This record gives sequence, C-alpha cells and structure tokens, in this order.
Amino acid sequence: MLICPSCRAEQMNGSLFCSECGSDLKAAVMPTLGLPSEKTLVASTPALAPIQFSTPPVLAAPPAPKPRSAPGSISQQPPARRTVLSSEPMRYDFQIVILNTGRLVECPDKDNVIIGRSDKITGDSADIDLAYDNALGLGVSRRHACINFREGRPYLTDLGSLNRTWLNRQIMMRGQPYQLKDSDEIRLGNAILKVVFKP
Amino acid sequence: MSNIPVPPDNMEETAAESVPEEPLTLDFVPSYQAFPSLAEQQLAYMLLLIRTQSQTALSNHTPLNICLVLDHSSSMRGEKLFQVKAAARQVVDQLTVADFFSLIAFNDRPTTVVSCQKVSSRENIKALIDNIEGKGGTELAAGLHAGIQEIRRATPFTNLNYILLLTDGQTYGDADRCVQLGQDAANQHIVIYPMGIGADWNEDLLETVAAKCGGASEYIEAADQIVRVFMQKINQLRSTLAQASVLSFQALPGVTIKKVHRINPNIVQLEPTGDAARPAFQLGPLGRGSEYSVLVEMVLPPLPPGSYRVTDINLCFQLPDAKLTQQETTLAVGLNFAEATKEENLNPEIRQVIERVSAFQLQARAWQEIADGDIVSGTKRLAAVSTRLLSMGEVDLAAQVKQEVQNLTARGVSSSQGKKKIKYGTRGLTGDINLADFLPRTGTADVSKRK
Repeated sequence: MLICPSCRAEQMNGSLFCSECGSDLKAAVMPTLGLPSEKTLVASTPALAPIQFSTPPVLAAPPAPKPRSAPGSISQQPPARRTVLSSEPMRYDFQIVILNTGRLVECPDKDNVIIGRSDKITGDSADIDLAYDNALGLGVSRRHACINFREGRPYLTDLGSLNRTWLNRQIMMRGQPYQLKDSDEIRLGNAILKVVFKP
Repeated sequence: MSNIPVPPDNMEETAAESVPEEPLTLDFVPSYQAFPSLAEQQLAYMLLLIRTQSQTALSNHTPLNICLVLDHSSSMRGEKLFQVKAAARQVVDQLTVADFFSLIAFNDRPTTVVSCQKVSSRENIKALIDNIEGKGGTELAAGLHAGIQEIRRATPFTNLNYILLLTDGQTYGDADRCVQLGQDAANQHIVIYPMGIGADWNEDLLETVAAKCGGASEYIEAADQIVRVFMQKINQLRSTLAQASVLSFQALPGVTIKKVHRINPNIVQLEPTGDAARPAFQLGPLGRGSEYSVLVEMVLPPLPPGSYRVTDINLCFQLPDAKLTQQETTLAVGLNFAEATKEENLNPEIRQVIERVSAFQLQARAWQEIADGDIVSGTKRLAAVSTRLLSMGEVDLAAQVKQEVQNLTARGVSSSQGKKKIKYGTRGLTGDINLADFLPRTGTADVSKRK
C-alpha cells in the first residue's frame, strides 16, 4: 500500500496519482517546514524559560508537517528521545487583540490554531474566529492563517488566503512559517491583530 | 529472464503492411518495460493503440442515413435558430445523392419537416428547412421518438444510421423516456449524437442517452460554432470504418481489469458489460485513418520475476456494409517483471495520459459528490482538480475550475455554464497529445492473429 503524501489516503501499489486528491504520488516528497534536524532538537535546552502554562506540554513538532516530511525520518526517530523532547519546551502563552474592534482573544491551547472566519454554509470553523469582527467585510479568508508551535515558540503561516497576510507591515509568503514575537502586528486582509505575550 | 519464448517484435506490423485490406491494427504500450515483482497486488497501466487504415476496399459505398432532430422552442429564436438552419442546409450540401436525410423539428410536439428521403433535390429540402420557426417549449422525448421513427424507414438500406440531436433547454418529466429511447435506438443500430447549446441543458441526461447507443454528447458554447460542429460530425461519420466495436479481455486468473478509459477523441470511462471473467467494453464507432487509444488499469497479483501473458485482448468490430460483417483481432499482452525497477523507466507519455485521466476522474467524482449533496467534499476535490490542471499547464481550465470553487464556497451552487465548460474541457484534455509519440513501441506482443 502507498500512502498519499498530501491527503493520506491509501493507494494501491503502482498507482501514479492519488484517487482522492489527484496528487502525484511519485513526486519528490518535500517537507514544507524547515524542521530543525533531530540533533538540534535534542541539543536545544529551554534556555529561554517561557512562562509556565498550566496544561501538559506539547510535542515540539507541529502535527501538520508530519505527513509531508520524509516518512523514513519519522520512523527512525527512537521513541525514547521523543519523550525527552516533549517534556522540554514550554509554550509561550499569548493573547491576540483585534484592533478593528478592540476584542481580546486568548490563543487556544492547541497545536494548530486556525485564524479565520466561521461559515455556516460551508461548515468551516476557525479557532480564532473573526466572524464577529466583520471578517467578511475585512477580507479575511475562512482559513486565513494558522499558528503552530515549535519548541514552544509560535509560528504564523498563511494558509493560502485570498487577501494575503502581513507581519509587521511585511507581506508574508503563503505557506511559509514566520516566528511571532511579542507585540507583533498581524494584518489579515484589512483586519489588524496585535500579539501580546503574557508577562 | 523470459520464461516464455517471445517471437520477434515486428511480426504484427509486417503482417499489417503486407496485407493491405487489414482494416485495423492493435498494439499496446505498458507503463513500465519491466514491472517490479512485489509480494502484494499492484496496479499496472497500459495503453492500447488502435490504428485504422485510411483506405479500405470495404464500406466506401455504404450510404449515410442522417436524421437531424432540432429543438425549435422559443428559446432558440434569433441567432441560434438562424445558425442551426444554416448548419442543416450545409449538412444537406455535404450529403450525396445516395445518402438518406430526414429532419424533425420539435418543441412541445414533434414536426416532421423533411421525411426520410434520398438527397436528390437539395433545393426542395432547403426550402423546407427555411420554414422552421421558433416557438413553444422543449419536449425532448417526443422529438427523439419521432426521429427514430423517421430514420427507421431507411435502416434496411444502410448501417450508418445517425441521429444528430440539438437542444438548448431542459426537458421536463420525460427524462426516463429519453433514456429508454436511447436503448431502443441501440437495439436498431442507430447512434444518437446529442449536442447542447448554451448553458441551460441537461448534460447528464444527454450523456446517458448517448452512452446507451454508443454516441457522445457535444457542448456548443456559442451559436456561431453550430455550423462547425455539425460539419465536423458529418465528416467524422462519413469516414466510419466500424460502426460498433467491442473490446473484451480474457485475463489470467488473479488479474482484474479495473478501469478502462477511451482517451481520444475525448476521455470517456467505459462501463464493463458481460461477466467478470471476460469483461467487455463498448468502444463505439471507429473512423478510417485514425488512431485511437485506450488506457487500461489492471490489478496484477504477486508475481515472481519473468514474463507473463497477463491478458488477451479481443477487438470485435462491425463493418458498415449491408451484411454487418463481424471481424475481430486478438492481441496477447505480455508483461515483464523484474526484481527492481527504477522510477525513471516510467514511460513519460503514458504518465501524461494518466495524469489527465486522473484529473478527469477527479472532477467527475467532485460533480457526483456535489449532486449527492456533499458540497464541502466536492468543493475540496474541485480545488484539487484546479491544482492538478495548473501543474499540467492548463491555465484557462484551471481558472475556470477555481471560479466554480469560489461559486460553490460563496453560494453553495455551481454555475451551469462553468460546470459544462469544466466537464467538456477535462474530457478534451488528451486531444493535444500526439499519439505518434508512443512509437517506437516498447511492449511485446506474443501473438497476433485475425480470424
């Protein structure tokens, strides 16, 4: 059995294109995130002691890139190291202020936080839902961007939004993760968000 | 490495050249010269090539029997009807004195404008065509029924019986009857070619009717293309070599024929008939001097390295002479298996064909899901189609698909015109692939014989 790298559907041996999503099954598999290699992950110590968060710590690598990274590298990683990794980094805890309306949103405690607007017709929902902030009028996509955590640090990725994303007035490349820092300004279409790290 | 002695490669082709009356040759190209020998089942692709002779002693004098069934409802008024009449007049000009012609105009009820007759007086027929006026609604089944009744009057004299059906609207309440009529036509060796003009016609129904009797539906985007499409069709019908052809497989135990797609002139998935051990596929009419290709997907059992005759392919076709002579050609497909194969050995042209067929399949599934009410999943699939089309370089079609994805996400419905453009556009994706690229052939035909 083959596993489609983009949608994880099971495909019969010898298939050339995924029957579910049409992806080229023989194409070179490219990891989309610049994941730090295993060595650097192990070596890295929580030098920047982040603020204690009451929930259990999360795995260093976000779940999204797993299917697209080379399958060999995941299976080779010994499970013992993984447990070491998962106990080390603590997640930065932060809030997001939507400047258009002044609303304050806690960043949900998830590995993959989707910023966008919910839509009843298509059934889309977002973890940070800007539908109440006139997101439609401000040009926010349903799945506009997402925040992932690596070693506890938040990274912002544009999920192929229509009206683009700006980080500190710089346009972001779609699909490319950018690290978020305290008091960063995020612009999604015409919605402006401010990142506030908790003291 | 071969377990089975394989005769020289060029045997079949020399046979075809030395016997000029051989109407067609059958050939195949596997996706890999050697497939990997695996411990589990695997999917294998193979392209069948059917080459027909341009000159044959047979069938040059078989007259055509054409019936035009034209929609003259009020929505056809103006430019459309004007062009349709012009097209009908040109069809009459194209026919010879030996051919048969009839014309039915239908709205709520059918009118026999030109009864079935030999084209001996073109001017009289044209004068009758000029009298058609646009009024009333659209009732397809009635028109189709009248067309079949009319064309039947000449079926004893020829086997090239074709109904060209043109409509621009939805028919209400008689869809089942239309499908039944398609079946009736097939039983009497009549082929229906439905053509839809504009955005507001039921392509699913017309495609079903056409599939029943071996025809194909056609999408005419604007009125000024009507004449061109009609002319193409008549020329294509004129060059018919075999009216009906059936492809059947006699596979090795454990080998399953999974899917069969006709690649040109359009991508069509062929539905199997007959029992599972010997599946047969209706290939439809074959023209003279053309090349047809068929993509076969099969599931192979685990096989140790070596050469195997995995399936026998039989192409049975009817020549359109009065006696309906049956002829058949058989091709044995031998595939090689080796311990290890490299990905680079994949035949790039076949990969190109498979890529287009998979995009076609994907959009067909998307429309099916949307029709079943699963709009979210269908929309996602369409978005994937758009990505695939872009990677193939089909920028316009990809943009069209993207537009429909936006329509679906914004409003939950697709535009009727966009849907047709995508359906008929993806179907025609393989039109620009030059089949001559597949030569020199890489497969090994074990036996080729003609009964």
